Amino acid sequence: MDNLKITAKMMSGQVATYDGYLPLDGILAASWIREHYPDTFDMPMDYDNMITAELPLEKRGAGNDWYWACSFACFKSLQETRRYWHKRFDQGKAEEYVDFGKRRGAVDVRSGRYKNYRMPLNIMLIPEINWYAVGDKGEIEHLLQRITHIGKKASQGLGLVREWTVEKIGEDLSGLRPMPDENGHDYIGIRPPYWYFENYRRVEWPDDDRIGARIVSAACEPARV
Amino acid sequence: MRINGRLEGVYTLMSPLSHIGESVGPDSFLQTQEIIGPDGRPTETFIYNGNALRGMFRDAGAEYFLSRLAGKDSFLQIPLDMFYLIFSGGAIGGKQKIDIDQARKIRQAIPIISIFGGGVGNQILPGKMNMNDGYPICDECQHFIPEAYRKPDLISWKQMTAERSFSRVDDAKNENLRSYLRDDSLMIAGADGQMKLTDGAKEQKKDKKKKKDKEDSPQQMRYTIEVLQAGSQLWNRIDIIDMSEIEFGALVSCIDQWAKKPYIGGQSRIGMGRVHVHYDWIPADGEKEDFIDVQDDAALSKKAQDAKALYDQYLDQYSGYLEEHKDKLVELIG
Repeated sequence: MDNLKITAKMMSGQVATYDGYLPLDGILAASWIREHYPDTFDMPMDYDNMITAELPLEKRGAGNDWYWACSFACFKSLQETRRYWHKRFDQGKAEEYVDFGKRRGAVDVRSGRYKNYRMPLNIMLIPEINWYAVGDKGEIEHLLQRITHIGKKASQGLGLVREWTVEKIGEDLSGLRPMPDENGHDYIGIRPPYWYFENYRRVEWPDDDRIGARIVSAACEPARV
Repeated sequence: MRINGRLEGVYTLMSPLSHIGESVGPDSFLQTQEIIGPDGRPTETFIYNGNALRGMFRDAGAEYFLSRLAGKDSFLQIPLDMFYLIFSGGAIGGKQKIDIDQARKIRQAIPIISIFGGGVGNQILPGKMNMNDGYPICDECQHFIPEAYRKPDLISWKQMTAERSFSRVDDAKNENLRSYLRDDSLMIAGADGQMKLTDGAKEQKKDKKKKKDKEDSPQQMRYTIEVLQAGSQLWNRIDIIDMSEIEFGALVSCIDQWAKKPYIGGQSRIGMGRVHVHYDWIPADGEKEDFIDVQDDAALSKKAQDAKALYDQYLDQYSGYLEEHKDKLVELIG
């Protein structure tokens, strides 16, 4: 296991994220499951048979508070913009293809199931994202081959990665992430899947502005007079 | 066998393209976004949304799917929920339950839902492709468009735009057509041409006058659309994730069906957005090869016979699958 710096050089730089967390171990876990359990990857989550990815990273922490030695995303956002995606009920096609049976052929597109949407997305302009980890360089490079996008709405092309690089470095900077701490001031997931409530712990964030999420949260704090 | 890789290609505009970002009064402007420019600083450029391309191919694939299921000389209509799932991706809601078996059956039975993804019951089926934005081949995007698709001496996307103005004429104000218009005022006034007044008639008269004035004011306008000019090119990339051969064939059917009316963007009713398209296939572990060429009168490339053979192979496989499972599929979606 080596101290590593992993870099994603972005294509257009548009990354859809609200919190800027973007933990790399979560991204690697998805790639690992795709490779080892391909039949489960594109299926809804089976909570009775949760799969824990065996990542080529050092495991740290005690007992059930373990986590991977891998930082959250470190980046500087050059700009924040907004972009919208739309979902529209296609009346023309419906006239042609829908069999309303004995029902009245009226569809409410202002509310309910068939509502039309204009949804905003928060976009950060990021030229490159860095992560720091302690792990196996070759194995990580292998898992990264499958990762083409980062963040939300990859299906619409946001977060497209142009190039991945993994390099050995001298210093262990994998601690640039929230650490389990029973007296911590935040409460979030500590390992993949990060959204899963059983992985939530009280944590403390390091006071380091290299972590992208810290800059995001600082920008969200109300102004102090 | 699971297929991974990407389609990369170029859309060449054969007519101006309208893709509206914002409107001010009767004028509409192209969709623009901030991206990282060649100098590493934010810069503005036109973008054709990946989501718009997704919707376009999804609709085409759904039409192909239903027409193929119906067979020749017949027509298939489906329930509203299934229509919404196939054409728009569906919606989630209902009881809190996850049914892996149902998800697996839907993926196997209806490949176009599998590749685009959608909401079924209370569960989301992730799609199997990432449809990226279409970027103009221009100075602002030169640093990330692959060299093979670049041109020398790139200009700014701003030099590719133009404004097209149109008039909407109110034919009711055309004296030559006036004879075809029923004059309601004559019917109200009576045979002698005098307005018949009753109690409270002054107010009624006022209301009628207001209404008449409104009707008399011309319903016509002059409006302007900012367009990307004919001859401009857009680079696009579609990432393919773990597709089966049948699913890959389904994707090809989407592009082929769309190619019968190869338009993108708005105002196609007046000929805008007609394109020629060429896609290359770049497998995750292989070399780039020609894939699909959409010209004026053919969905498949006349130039690249290899791409046609590859396409036919996948399309036949998909069509064969539909024929084989026809009854089961009609039952599932009906």
